[in-house]
Amino acid sequence: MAETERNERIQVRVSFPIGKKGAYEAKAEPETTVGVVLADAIRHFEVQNDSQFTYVLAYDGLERNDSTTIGSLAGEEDEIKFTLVKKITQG
Amino acid sequence: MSIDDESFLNLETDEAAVAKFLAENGGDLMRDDRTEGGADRGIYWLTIRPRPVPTERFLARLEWFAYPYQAPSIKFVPAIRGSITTSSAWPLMTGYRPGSFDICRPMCHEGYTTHPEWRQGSTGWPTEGNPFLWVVQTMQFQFDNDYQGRST
Repeated sequence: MAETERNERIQVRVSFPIGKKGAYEAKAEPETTVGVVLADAIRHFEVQNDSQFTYVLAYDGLERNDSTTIGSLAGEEDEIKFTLVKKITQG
Repeated sequence: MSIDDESFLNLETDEAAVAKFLAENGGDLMRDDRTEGGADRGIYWLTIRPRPVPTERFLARLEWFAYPYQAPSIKFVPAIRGSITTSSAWPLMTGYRPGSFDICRPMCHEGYTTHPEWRQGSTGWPTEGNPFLWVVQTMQFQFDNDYQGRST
């Protein structure tokens, strides 16, 4: 049933091509926010924001707001894939 | 100028992920020596589509010098082996300078030449993982989130 499916945990995957580790993967509740996933991914990849860069998550190509829930992005899907983007503020 | 065998092998390892990524985003990747009349295995031609305007296409020339150790030169061109000084081949995006035919950001040879200080610290060129994929994903992200049109 659709409602039951929405309450199931979502498989989250965050890739980062220049990370020293492989992709970040976790199961998370649908109401988990992008900001929470971002913080976990930043810890996993051992990177940090500074005056030159801000790390953000992109889903389907677009930068996603920290307050957005992963359930609202995933819809009926049981997995969601983000890319960790080293967003350049310099230039 | 072309690349040495080590760079060639490293690029061969990493380019498949780049081609897959571009294809998923409506783009394309071609190595110069696989194109008609081409011979330089250190140059790639990338077709990139900005998500906000799916009918638009840009062609970028990426030239590697030593992979993964050095950032590539990035130029936008009107056609494969076309002029690298055509401003209308360039997108309008933050840090992309059609008037100077360069990208003033810590992600390419031109950026590091303009700002040598970027070679140090967090702005330094990354050599871990797949920097080829990283630079292309970064460009695609900028096209998807910061595209303001085509230069004239």
